[in-house]
Amino acid sequence: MAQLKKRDSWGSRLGIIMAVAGSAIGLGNFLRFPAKVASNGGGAFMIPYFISLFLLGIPLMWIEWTLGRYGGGFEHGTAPGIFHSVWRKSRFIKYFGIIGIFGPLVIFIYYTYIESWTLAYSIFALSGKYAGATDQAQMQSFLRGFQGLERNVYFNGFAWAYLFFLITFIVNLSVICHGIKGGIERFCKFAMPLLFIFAVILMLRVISLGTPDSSRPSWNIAGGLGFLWNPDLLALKSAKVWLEAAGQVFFTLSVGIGVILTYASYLSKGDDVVLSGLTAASTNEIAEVILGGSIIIPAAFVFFGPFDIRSIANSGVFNLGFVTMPLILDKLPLSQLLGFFWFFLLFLAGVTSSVSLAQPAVAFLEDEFNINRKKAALIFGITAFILCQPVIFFLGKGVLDELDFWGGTFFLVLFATIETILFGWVFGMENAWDEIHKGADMRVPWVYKFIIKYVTPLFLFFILGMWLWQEWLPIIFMKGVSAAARPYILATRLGLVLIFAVLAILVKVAWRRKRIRGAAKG
Amino acid sequence: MNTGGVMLLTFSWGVILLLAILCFFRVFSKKEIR
Repeated sequence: MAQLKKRDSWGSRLGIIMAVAGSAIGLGNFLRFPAKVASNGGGAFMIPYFISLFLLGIPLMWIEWTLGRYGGGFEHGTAPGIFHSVWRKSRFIKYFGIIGIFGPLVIFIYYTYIESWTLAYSIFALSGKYAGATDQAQMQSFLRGFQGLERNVYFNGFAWAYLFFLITFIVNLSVICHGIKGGIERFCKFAMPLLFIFAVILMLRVISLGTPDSSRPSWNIAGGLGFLWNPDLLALKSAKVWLEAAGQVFFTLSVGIGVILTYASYLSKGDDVVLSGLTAASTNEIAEVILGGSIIIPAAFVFFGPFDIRSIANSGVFNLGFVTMPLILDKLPLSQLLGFFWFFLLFLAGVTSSVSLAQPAVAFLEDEFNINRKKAALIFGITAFILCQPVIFFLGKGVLDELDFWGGTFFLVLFATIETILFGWVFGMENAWDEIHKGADMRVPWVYKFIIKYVTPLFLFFILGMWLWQEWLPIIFMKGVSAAARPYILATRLGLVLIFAVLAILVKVAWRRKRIRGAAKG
Repeated sequence: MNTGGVMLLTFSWGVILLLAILCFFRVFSKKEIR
């Protein structure tokens, strides 16, 4: 009979805090957040943002840390096993837990490719490769050429993009291969401080911009910060603003994916989750509100002025990061170095997130099939590499957006709703409250007993319903999708169903093997 | 930047910095994980 091996574990508390914060801090902190603030009431946006943070984000954070540690006590590092540990009477709950492996895997297969662009651009910044592109149209053309969407003066195919994808994929796999303590923790303890140093340098550079063009005195940094922070209190009457704030909080903290469950499963029974969870969340908030809010939008205001900034803020994450920001940095002294800082900080933010996305699938193979770490990482690597190919080859056909919708949006909210109900109602609030406080270094305010049981699930049901009604139904029914793109979208959906079905079969096999092993023992 | 903007920026940064400082202070003064 196969010998049960000892599970991996974290080496230090700072290690898991950095790893969870690293998982949460991504492109969204530096690009999505400032754009959302600017287009949803400015500083007034922070009122629904903080309300959502305390009623939705932080409770979900505590729920996932606690469920993860609880499941880890039963040698389960992923949602199927963790959910089954919480609700043993149910034969089906483990199948709902599949979302906690499926979601991160799906995000991984497109996120790694985007992450590789940031590595490529950091090298392009140093070598001055995009320095010839001097306006938005040229920089967009550079990006499209790099992605292989068009052949132009900058690129003749996507060989460079593929090369950087390979490098990024190997970096990810080598971190994962070295395990929790020797790989992910070690990498995050080096990458996170470096990321913060680069971000602080960029923030200080932007804040010290003053009024670079004396012929346009209103194009200054105070105006830029004002554009972002001056409150439009009337915006608070709009349901859209409240929904956007809830969405931003939800997506920034990496809750509802399944990665925090897996990371927390490597803690011991008596390890604190309350303070560690809150510390990881507050680290993410520094990166988002303080650093993310002080770089791109204020800088864009200074160089593009109060009129163009509105369209720039609404131009989307990729446009802001890969088109606007290099143009801004190119106008500054030491532009190559600053460009490198910008893209390399995004790359570090990307890797610390993507390794966390890979971990649930690897942990599932290790825990439920007793496969060793290197072999599990290899199986994951080969599978993910094959799955990444359609994203690269059919980028312009909507495959990436489709994966982002299902893996990175729809299933996240669904998964968070399931685990909240499981925690507050099935596990029971009294048990849950005791479990949260095992080894806790601080007490959770008593009001959270009420919030976790009633407010957070209601909040989730509300946003799930609103999004389904307002945004998701047209996407599900492919409204506005061209006839040429439809086969690609349908093929992507078929692929997703197949991935889910394979995971369901694996769960069934794993549980059957456990049952047979249990019967043989006793 | 108007007064409202300054107030909301100060409030947001203040809440987050305070939370982070208190958390990290407690993390470093408490026991390590086992």
